[in-house]
Amino acid sequence: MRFLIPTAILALLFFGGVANGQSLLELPLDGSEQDKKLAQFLEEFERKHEVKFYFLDEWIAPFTIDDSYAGQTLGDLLENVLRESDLSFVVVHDRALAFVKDPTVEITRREAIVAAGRRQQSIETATVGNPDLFRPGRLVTLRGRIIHEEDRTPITGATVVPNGVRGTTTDREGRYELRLPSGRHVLSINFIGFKERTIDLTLYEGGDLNLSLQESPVLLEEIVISSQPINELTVSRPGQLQLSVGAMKKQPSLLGEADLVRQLQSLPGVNTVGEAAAGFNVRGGSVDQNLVLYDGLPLFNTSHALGFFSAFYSEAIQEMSFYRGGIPAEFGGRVSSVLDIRSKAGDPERWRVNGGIGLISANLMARGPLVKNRTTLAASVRGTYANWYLDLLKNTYKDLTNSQVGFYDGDLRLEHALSNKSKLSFSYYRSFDRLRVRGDTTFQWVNQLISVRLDQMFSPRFTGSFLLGVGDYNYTVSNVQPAQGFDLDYQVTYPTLKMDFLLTAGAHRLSFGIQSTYYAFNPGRLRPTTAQSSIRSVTMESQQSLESGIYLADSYNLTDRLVLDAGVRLSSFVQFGPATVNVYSPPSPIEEDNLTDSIKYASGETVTSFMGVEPRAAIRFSLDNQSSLKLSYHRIYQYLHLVSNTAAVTPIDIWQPSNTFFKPQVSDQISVGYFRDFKQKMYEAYAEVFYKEMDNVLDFKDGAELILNKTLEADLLQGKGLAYGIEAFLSKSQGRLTWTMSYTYSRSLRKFDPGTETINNGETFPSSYDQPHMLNLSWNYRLSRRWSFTGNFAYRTGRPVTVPVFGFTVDGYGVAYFSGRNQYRIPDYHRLDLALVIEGSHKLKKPWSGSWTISFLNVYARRNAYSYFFASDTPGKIDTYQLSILGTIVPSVTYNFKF
Amino acid sequence: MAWSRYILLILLACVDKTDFDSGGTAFPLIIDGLFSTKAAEVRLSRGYRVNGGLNYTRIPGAIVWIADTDDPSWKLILKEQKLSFYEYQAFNGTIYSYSGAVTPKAGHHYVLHVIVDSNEFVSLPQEVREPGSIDNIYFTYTSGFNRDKGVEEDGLNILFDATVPSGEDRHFQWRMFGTFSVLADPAAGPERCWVTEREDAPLLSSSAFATRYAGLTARYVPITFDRFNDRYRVEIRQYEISREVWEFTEALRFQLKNGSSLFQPPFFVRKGNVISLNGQANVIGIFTASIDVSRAIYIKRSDLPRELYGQPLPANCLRVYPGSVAYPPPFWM
Repeated sequence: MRFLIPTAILALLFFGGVANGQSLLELPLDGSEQDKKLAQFLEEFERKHEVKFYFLDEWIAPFTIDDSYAGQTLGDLLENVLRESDLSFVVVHDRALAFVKDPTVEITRREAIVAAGRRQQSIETATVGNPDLFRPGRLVTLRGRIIHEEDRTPITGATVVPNGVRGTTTDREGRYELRLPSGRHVLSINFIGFKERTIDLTLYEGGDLNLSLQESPVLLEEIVISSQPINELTVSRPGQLQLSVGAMKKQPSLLGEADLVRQLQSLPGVNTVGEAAAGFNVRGGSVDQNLVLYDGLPLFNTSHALGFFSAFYSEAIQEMSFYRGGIPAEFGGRVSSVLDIRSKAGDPERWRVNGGIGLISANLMARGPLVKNRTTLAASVRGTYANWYLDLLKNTYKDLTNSQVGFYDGDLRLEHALSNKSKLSFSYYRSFDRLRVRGDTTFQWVNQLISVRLDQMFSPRFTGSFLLGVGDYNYTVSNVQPAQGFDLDYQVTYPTLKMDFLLTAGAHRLSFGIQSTYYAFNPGRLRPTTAQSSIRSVTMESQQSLESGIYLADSYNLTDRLVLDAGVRLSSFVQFGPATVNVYSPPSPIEEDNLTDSIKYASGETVTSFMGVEPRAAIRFSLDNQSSLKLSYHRIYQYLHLVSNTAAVTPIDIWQPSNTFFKPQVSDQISVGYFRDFKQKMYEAYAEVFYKEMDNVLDFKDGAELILNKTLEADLLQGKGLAYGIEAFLSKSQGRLTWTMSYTYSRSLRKFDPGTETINNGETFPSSYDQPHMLNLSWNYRLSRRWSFTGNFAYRTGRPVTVPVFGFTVDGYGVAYFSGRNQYRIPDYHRLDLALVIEGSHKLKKPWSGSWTISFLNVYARRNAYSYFFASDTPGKIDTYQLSILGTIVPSVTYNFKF
Repeated sequence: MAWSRYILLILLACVDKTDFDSGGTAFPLIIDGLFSTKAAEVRLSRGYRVNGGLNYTRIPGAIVWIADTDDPSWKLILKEQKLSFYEYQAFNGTIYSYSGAVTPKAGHHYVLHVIVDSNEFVSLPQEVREPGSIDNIYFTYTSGFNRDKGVEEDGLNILFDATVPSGEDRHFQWRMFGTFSVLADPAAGPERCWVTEREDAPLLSSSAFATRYAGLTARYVPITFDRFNDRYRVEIRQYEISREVWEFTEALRFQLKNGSSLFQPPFFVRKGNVISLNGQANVIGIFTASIDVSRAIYIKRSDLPRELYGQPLPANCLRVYPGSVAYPPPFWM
C-alpha cells in the first residue's frame, strides 16, 4: 500500500488553494510511457512534474500502458487506460490526483457469497485467464457449457447469474456467454432438479468455464413443482418456463405414469376440459393452438388412450421449454403457446439403462457411446398392458364393452461429434395407439417424426443449426362387420427444413433463421374391406400447402436494468393444386343449398395464399435486485386448424389447412408481469396480466358432421376469440417443506357474427375451456433423506357445457333438445392427490438405484363431472347423467430403476 | 397378484344420475306427421322437462289437415282418434277426406297444416316420388355373452337388402316392425296379445352407399319364448324423405347412438320442416309424405337353430308389453 484516499483528502486540506484540475490533466506526454506499468509511469511522472498520485498498489498493478501517448495529455492516458474498469480519479487542487475504486462490484460479490453460505452451499473457486494479461475492470467475455454430471448431456435453460444480478440461460447445447468486467465475481449456476453451484471466480481475461451440475438426490434442495420458473427475476422472458423431468416423477401421477401434459395443466393459465381430454388449453386458446415440437418437428397428437396419458415418455426427455406469452420470433404457426421438447442424447462415456414398471405400462431406456466421446446412441420404448383396466371400466361404462386399448411410443437418438465445433444428430420418434370400441370398430393412430440436425459453431460468437425432417400423422378407423366392413384413412405428411442462427455482438444477441414446411393432407378415404360390404368408396381430394417463415430477433441489454427482446417473423402460407374449390352464389351464405359451381386448379397451381407480419417484443426492467417488471407483446398467425365437433379433442378430428374459405387465425397478446423474490430467493412470486384477441377461430355449426364432408366450409364458422386474465404464483423453494401455489382468474370467450347460421344468435359466449377460477397447490415435504411426501390440490370452476333443456318424443323415440352453446356449467372441479416417494441410496457410484412412488389420486374420492349425457329408456322420459372419469380414489405403485 | 387385483377393483369411472333442471323453459309443440300409402297420421305433443316423470300433455282442439299443392281441391282432414295419445290418424280407422283420395300420388307435393290455440303451423311442401324397393329380408343367428346384461344370450340379426332410385339429394328411411303374439293367463287378462317392436334407431340412407343397399342391419332380436313361441313377423318399410327430415332424423339417430359419448353428446337443435306461420309459437316438427314400399317375412319357431324352452305365461300381457293390443293386426295371418 502506498497511499490512501484519506491521505489525499488531508493533503488537499493541507495544500489549500483553488482547485484547477484542468491544467494537471492537460500536462503533455512524450511517448516514453509506452509499454510501462501504470505504477511505474506514475512514479516517473511525479518526479518530472510537481504532482502527487494517491492509490493502492494492488488497484493499479495490473494496468499496463500499451500505446504511445506522445503529443497527448495525462488526462487522455488515464481515460483510455481506466476505461471500462471500476477505477476512476479525482483531481485535487491541480496538484494531486487520487484514484477511486467503485465498491459496488465487491460489495455485491461479498453479498452473494454470504447468501450462498446461508443456503448451506459450498463455494468453489475458479480462475479464468492469464494473470499477466489481467486488465482490471475491462469487459471480457466468459463462455462455457453446462452439462449433466452423470449423463454428460447439455442442460438447456440453466441459469448462470453473476453476483446475484442479471445473468443468462444456457442454449440448446448448454452454452452460455456473459460479458463481465475482469476481476472477481460470484457465479451461481442453477437448474431445477439439480444442485446449485456457486463459483468464486477470478476472471483475468475472457475465456471458457465449463461446469457440470449434479442431479439433486436430496428432495430438500429440489423444487417441488416442475413448473417453477427459474430465476424469473433475472433471466426468464415473460411467460417462459423450464420444466424438469426429475421433479415430475416425484409428483402423484395417474396409475404411476409421470405425465408431462398433466404437469403443464397445473401451471397458471393452463387448463383442460377434463381428465380424459387430450392436450391442454393455454390462456383461453384451443388445443390446436399449441405448437408442440419434438426435436424441432411439430406433433399433431400428443396423447395416448383418448387423452388419459400423454404421448411422451418422460425418461426420454432431456428438457422442455414452455412459452405462453412473449413467444420468441423463432416459433410460429400456433397462436397460444409453444412446448419445445428435446429428447435425451446418449451418454458419451458409458452405457446406462433405466426403466420403470407401473400398473399399466412399463418402459426401458438405454443410452451410451458407440464411439466413446464421439458417437452416442439413446433408445427408449414404452408400452402398455392396460386392457385389464379397461375390463374394469367397461363394467360401468357400456361404451367400452368388448373394447381394447393399447399404445406404445419409442424414441431413438444418434449423435456424432464431427469435430469440437460441429455435431450431427439423427432423431426418430414414433407413437402408436389402437383402440377398439364395442368390438367391431377399431381406431388406430400413429405419430412419426424423423429428423437430421447439424449444429455448427462457426465462431465462438456465431452458431447455427440446420434441421431436415419429416413428420407424419395418420389414423385409420376400421369396421369388421362383413356387411359394412370399411377402412377410413386420414393422413398428413410434412417434410420440414429449418435453419437457425445465433450471433453475439457486444450487448446484442441476434437470432435469425428460416423454416419451411410442406403439408400433404389426405383428408379422408373410405373404402370397403369385405366382399359383402355395401360401403361405397369415397376419396376426399388431397390438399397441398407450403408454410414458411423467416425471422430476425435481438436480445439487447439497453442498460444494466433494462433488457429488450424484439423481433419480427414474416410468415406465409400457400395452397397448391390440384384442388377443387366450391363456388357459392353470392351474397348468399356458405351453405350447401347455395353451392352453384366449382373451380378446378391444376397441379402446382396456386389456389390461395396468405402472408403475415408477426412482431414480437419483450421488455424486462429490473426494479432492484429482488424485483422486475416485464412486458411482452406478440402477434402470431396460425394456418392449420383442428376441426372438431366435441369439447375434447378426439383422435379422429381433422386438421384443416387454411384455404379459400378458412382464413388463418391471428392472435395478438399483450402481457405485463411483476416478479419478486424474498429472503435470498427462498420465496419467489409473480403476477402476470394478459389480454389476447384471436381472429378467425373455427367452430362447428350445430349438428355438423365433419368426416368425409366435401362441403366442410358449409358446416363450420369462423369468428372471434377473446381471452384475458391474471395469473399469480408463489413458491417456497428451500427447506424441508417446499411448495408452490398458483391462482388464475381468466375468461375465454367466443363470438360468431350473426348470419343465417351462427352460434347463440351471434352473441358472445364462453368457450368450452372458460374456467374463470383456477387454483393449484403442490408441495413436497422431506420426511428423511430418502423419504418424501408430495401432493397436489387443484380447484377450477366447472367448464361450460351444452345441456339438454327439454325432451320430446317423435316417431317413438325420446329426443333431448339442447340449450344454446355452452350456456350451462358442470359443477366446480377439485381434487387432492398424494404420493410417497421412497428413493434408494444416494451414493453416486452405486451400480443400481431404484425408487418407489406410491400415489393416491383423488384422495377424497370426489366425483368430478367430466361431462353430462342423457338417456331415454322410456319414450316420454329423459334422464341426465354425469360421467366422472376418476370416480373414486385411484392408488398406484411404480418402481423406477437405473444402472 | 391378489393384492393388486383388490386395488384394481376400485379403479372405476362413475356415472351418476343428476337432478339437473334447466328450469323455466317454455316447452314447444311437437308435430310428428306421416302421410304414406299405409297411413296418414299426425301426433301432437309437447316437450317435457328433463329428469321429470312420464309427462304427455294433451293438445285439445287441434285442427289438422294435409293439402295437395298441385291439386287445391284435395284436402285430407284428420280427426283425433285416441284420447290418451293425442294422435290424429286415419290408419285402421275412419278417413275424413273431401276428395276421397287417401294415398299420396307420385309427382304431387303435400303440406301439413295444424292449428293449435289459434296458432297455425305448416310444413314445407313434400314431393312424392317412387321410393325404390325392398329386395330381401333375412336373418343370421348369433350368440355370446351380453356384457350389458351380464348373461349369455342368443338372437337373430335381422338384415335386409334394398334398392333406391338414383339421383342427387334423394334421401330414404326404413322402418322395421317386428310383430309377435304372446299367450297369456286368461284369468288375468286377454288370452293373447300382439306386440310390435321397432328398430333401435332410425335406419337412414347414406351418401356412403350407392343405389344398392345390401346387408343393412334392421335390428337384433333376442331369442325368447314369447317372441318365437308362435312366429315372429318382420316387416320393413321404405320411404323417401326430404333433406330436412333426413337431417332431423339423422341428428336423432346420431344422438341415440352417441348420447352417452365420452367426449360430448351431440347437440340436437334441429327444428325439422314445420314452421309457425305467425313466427311466434315455438314448434319442432317433421312431416313426411311418401309412397312406401314394404316387404315382410315370418320367422317360425322351426327356423331357429335351437329348441325353445317353455316359460310361465304372463299374467297380463297388456301390462307386461306396454303398447300391445289384444286383437290381431290386419296383416297377421
